[in-house]
Amino acid sequence: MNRKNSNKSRNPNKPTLAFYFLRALACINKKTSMASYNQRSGTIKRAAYASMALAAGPKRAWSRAVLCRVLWWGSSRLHGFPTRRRPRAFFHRRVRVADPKLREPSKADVLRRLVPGAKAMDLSRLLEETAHYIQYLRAQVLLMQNVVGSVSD
Amino acid sequence: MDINEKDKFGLEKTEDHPNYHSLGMPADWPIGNPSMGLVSAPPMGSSPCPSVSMVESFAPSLWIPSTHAQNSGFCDNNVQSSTAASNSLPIGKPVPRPLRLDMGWNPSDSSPKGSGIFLQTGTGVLPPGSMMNTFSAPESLSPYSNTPKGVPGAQIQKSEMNTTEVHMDASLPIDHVSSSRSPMKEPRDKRTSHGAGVSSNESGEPEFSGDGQEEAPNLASAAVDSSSTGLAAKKRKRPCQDMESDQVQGGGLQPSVETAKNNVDTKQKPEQNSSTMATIKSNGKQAKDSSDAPKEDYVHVRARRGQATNSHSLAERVRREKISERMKLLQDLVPGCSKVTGKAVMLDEIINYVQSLQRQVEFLSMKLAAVNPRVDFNVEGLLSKDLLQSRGGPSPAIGFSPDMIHPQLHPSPHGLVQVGMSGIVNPSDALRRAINAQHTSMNGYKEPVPQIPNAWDEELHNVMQMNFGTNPPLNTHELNDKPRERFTM
Repeated sequence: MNRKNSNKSRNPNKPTLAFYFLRALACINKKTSMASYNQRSGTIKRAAYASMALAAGPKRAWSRAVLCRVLWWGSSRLHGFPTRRRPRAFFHRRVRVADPKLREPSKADVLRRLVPGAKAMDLSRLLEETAHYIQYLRAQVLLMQNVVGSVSD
Repeated sequence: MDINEKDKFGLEKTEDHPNYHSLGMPADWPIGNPSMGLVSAPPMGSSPCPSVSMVESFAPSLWIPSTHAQNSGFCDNNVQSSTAASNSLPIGKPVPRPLRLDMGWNPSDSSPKGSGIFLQTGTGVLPPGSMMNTFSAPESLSPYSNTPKGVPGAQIQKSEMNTTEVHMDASLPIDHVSSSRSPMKEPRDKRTSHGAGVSSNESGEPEFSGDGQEEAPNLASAAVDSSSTGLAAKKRKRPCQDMESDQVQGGGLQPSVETAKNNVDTKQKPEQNSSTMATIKSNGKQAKDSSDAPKEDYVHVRARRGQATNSHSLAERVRREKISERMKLLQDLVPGCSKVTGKAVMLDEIINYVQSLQRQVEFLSMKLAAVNPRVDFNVEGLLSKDLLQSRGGPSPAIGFSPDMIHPQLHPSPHGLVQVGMSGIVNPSDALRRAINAQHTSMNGYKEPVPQIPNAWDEELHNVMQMNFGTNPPLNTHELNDKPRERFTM
């Protein structure tokens, strides 16, 4: 059972991903047509990550972290609300575990920095999140390539 | 003597099981029957398990072909202990077999110690060595009593050895032979002198010809030495024997003369000892570990043979296995990592891949930003086209559209956002219409997507609103300049 669940959650739901992203693109297109190029690219990038995280669901730590980050960005940037503590702090449930098994513990640290929301995880959990994250990243990249390809045609 | 030995052999056989005969001689042993007798002989009886278990520990490698039957019947106690140890043998050979032969020799007396020794050898030494182990153990005993059954030639020689530990010897040599046979077989196709080997262990008598003799001398001498020194010597011997047997195996038949002089030849002793010294320590440790191996903690983790059974080590092993399992999964995900072995390199690859994917996302987003104004609003078309082409279907999208609308009515933490939300409804409606138009057939099909909790949807909308509905002052410079080491949005 666990295996099945993990498999299902592992394979990103591509239609969902596409839907989220394209919808975001539509929004961006409409709303930020006047924005600068850089701004728009940043927005699109965040839209990509947000749609990716949304498609992943709230079960994964990285998707939660991504959305928190996006929300935090939005709240802090857009409305001038008092910036709460960075959302990442919420995930620092415990001290980061240094893995003595790794010859270079810094590698795990680098990976922790790369994968959102994986700061306070032991190595096995970190690897699991990384695998999931890679799957969704790849799906997102493919989707964006498709979109670019179809748009540029 | 022969007769006696044969009798004993028969006795042993009966003790063990009738299977012995069939098992005793594994197919890979083209050896003559006598050797078979030896093999079956070991079941001295239900000799103390500890020693047997030890034998088992290294036996597995030896007895690949045959031992199943033997093991089953012979020493249940031993089997249990040894199988436990051998079950997880990394050697990859079926566990059950090992014991049979060894059990024969561990007759009571020095079995506990012997077992320890055996375990050492068994765990530390692979099949070629394992043979020696068994040999070494019996060797010490062999001098005592030879009558062991089985090898006719050996029998004679054995009788010479000593009768003090008749039972032990009888079983031992057989075990030796049997154990040594299996591994030795591989290097040498035919081992006609099973008995020879065995006997050599005991007495190193030149009667044996062929391989057996080669080993026998070593074993015999070793046995002699060990017997004199006691168990400690056994340990040493075993590794020595292993080494010697290895040499023997590779070397081929040695003249029987050697065997003759090996019997009492103490020259080999120093050689053996020196050679085995190195192995002794490792064997010793392994022996201890292996003896403790078959322990389980409440998480049903079985310590493998030759591994520490401390609860911490067990937990650590579980953790390590978990990590390696995840690394394997990642290996499949990351392209071009199938040949990479090792955590460090693998982690490097993973890090590079994640970084490259993130860079690709950024690059594509920039491309999209450049392209977007031109598109103006082909997104609906894109949506349908994309969904139709690359994805299975837009059903989830359809399922989503109604959900999209709902959360919009929910109070959002940001009052301003709500205003923006209403603005967003239109495009989403437009999208939804486009989607519905394209996939009317899917209307009835609800994807699990709608199951996303409302909070999630709300979050989604908030996100969309905050980031895309309005023009946030983006710190693009920050995004672009930061090294890619960090994941930033």
